[in-house]
Amino acid sequence: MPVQKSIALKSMKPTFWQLLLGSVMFLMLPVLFFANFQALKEVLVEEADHHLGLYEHSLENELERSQNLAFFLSRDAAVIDGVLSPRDIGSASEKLAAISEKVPGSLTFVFDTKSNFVAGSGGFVQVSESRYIAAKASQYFDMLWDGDGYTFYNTDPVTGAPCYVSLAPVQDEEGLTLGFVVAVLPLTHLETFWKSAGDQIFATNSEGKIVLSAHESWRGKSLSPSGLTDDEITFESMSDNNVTFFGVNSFFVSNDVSGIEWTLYYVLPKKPIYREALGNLFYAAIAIIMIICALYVFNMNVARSRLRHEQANLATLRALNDELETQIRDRIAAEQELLTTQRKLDRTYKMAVFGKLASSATHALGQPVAAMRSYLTAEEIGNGATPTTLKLQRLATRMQHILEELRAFTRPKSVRFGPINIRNAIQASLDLLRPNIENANVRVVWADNGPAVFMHGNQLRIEQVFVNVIRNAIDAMQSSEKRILEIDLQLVDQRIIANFADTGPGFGDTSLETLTEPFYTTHASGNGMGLGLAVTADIVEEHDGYMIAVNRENGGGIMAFSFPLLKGEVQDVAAE
Amino acid sequence: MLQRSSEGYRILIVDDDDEMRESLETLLQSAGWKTKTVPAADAVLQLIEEFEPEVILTDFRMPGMDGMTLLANLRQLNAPPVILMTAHGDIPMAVEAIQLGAFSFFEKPFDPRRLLEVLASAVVQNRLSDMNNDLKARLSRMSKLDRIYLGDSEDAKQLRDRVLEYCEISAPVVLTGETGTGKES
Repeated sequence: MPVQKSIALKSMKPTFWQLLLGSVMFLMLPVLFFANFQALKEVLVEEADHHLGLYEHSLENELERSQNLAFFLSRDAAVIDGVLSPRDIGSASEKLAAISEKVPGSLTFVFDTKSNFVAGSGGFVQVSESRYIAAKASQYFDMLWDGDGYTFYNTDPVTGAPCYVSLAPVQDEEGLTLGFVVAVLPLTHLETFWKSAGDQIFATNSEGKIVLSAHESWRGKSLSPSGLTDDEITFESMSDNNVTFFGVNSFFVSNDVSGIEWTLYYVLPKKPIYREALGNLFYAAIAIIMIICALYVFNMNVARSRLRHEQANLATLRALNDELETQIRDRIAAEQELLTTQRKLDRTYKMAVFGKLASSATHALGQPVAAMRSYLTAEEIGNGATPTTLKLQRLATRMQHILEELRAFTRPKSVRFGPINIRNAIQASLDLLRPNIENANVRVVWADNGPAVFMHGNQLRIEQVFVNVIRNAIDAMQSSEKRILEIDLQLVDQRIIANFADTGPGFGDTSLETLTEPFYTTHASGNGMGLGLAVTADIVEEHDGYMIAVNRENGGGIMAFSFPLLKGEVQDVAAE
Repeated sequence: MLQRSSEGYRILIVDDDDEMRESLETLLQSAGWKTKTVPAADAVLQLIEEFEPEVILTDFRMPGMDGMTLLANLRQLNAPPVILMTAHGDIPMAVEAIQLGAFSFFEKPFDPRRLLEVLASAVVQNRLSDMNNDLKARLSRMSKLDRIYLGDSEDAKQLRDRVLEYCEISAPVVLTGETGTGKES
């Protein structure tokens, strides 16, 4: 589990590069903003330039029209005649009126060289107006006398509307200047057009004064270089095209208008650009966030799929591991079983061989020993016992005991099994060994009046087991001060446990396997061959039992036997 | 004392092992016994006739007829008590032997003195039994019962014994039976 978690965390966490990318993207935002702003500005300025061109063109057209009108009238025969003979002015006046009719809002006048009004396009205001016009025109008389026309800007003396005033000399055939024509062409419609286009556009004359603009209110204002606070249009830096236009930070583009010393300005407030740039920035930011999110999600998906993959791998691995473990465990168990079986077989084989050997040995030796004793006894009966015959008798007796010990191994051909009371078997063994117990001064602690405990077996064989064990215990306690043999029977999990605890020296480090090995003995030579426990183990095995040998904590040894408890018929047998 | 009292007892020893046979003969002769030895069970019947042993000591495992078969055969005759010896003994075998009527059972090697005791007691018992039979026969003859109630069958013999036993009781005893059984003669 912890492995999976760490993998998950590792995969879910943004990597260093992802973090760096995110940071850089966000750091790039101002740059992006600026770049975007600049780009927008470029586009708008270019557009403004284009617009400016158009406006300039219209302005120039208007100028040309005005000049053309003046020139056309100055060449008109009726006008010339009218100047030559002021009395016969009627046709000239008609002409002018017709022109004014064709060009709405326009005014035309004809003056003589002394600036006397000769004719006009009509209307009652025109007389006074003409005087003003004549006064204005008188500034340009020199040019007029030279035969050149001139156009200047003015505001309509009556309406105050902006207009072009074009002057053109009226000359006779010899080129003598007789008078001049004045054509006043209003520019109001241009202003209206500019206004309706929604552009912030205005034109200044050579003095920097606004003469024509999209807003009437701007007219008359003058441009100022930076620093003058009371001016409403302040150029901060001409090179950067920055202007503070009525308190609004703006860009501007400008162009000189040909034919008249005007400059046309096109102003773009920065705010919308900023707003748009900001908007773009916002979209960019959103895009970046979305990209990051997408990257993150992708990353997470990758991580998740990797995690899933790894988990699957892990699960597979674990399953494989488990399987292997199980196999190994099974194999170990099988090997263990095999080993146990082999050991059992080994032992069985050993015991069988040994039993055969013991059988033939007891038979082969039994006869001569019996014969020897017979001779000895005959000798003693015939001639009386001598020290030699007594010694020989003792040796023969010893040989006999050895043979008896060996005989225990000669397995009976058939052992009849049946329900036996193990308590009786223990009691019988104790009774048999009563003299030995008393001689060795051993106290036996044994509840001989306990309930009957039945097992399936052969009473005599089981008795042999207990006789061997009790005899061993007695021998073991030979040199102990305290000589107590405690015997008890217990029932644990459908098995009978018989414990024989002595106060001897215990078994030390000797394993049960060694203890039950034939010919293993702790006795001095001539005191038994060490077959007792081997026989015991053999019989215990024959009865589906097992035995263990343990040392007691405070000295002494315990020999414990376990046999399967006989159930069912036990009650019947006990009842009998 | 026992050795002395067994003076002249007759024993037939059956064992295929020469050493064993010879040693037993030596032992028993030293105790004053009259001995006869044979290496196989086949010659036993003839020797019972000739030698009239008072006890037979036989090995269990022998070529030809073994000890157990011999015991089974002898039991049907009015043979002396039989004591078996074996070097392969186990308890079931001993039990079988006793059930078949063996007087005792010995595992080789055995305590020779114990063997002498058992053999002697077998002879004594056998002699007592014979003596008993003789006395009964004599009593029967004396009371002329053997002439009144004829018959050599085992049942007839037993009935005669019973009649003699009932003599001691002071009450009349009547024998009843089918015609021709001999009760009236």
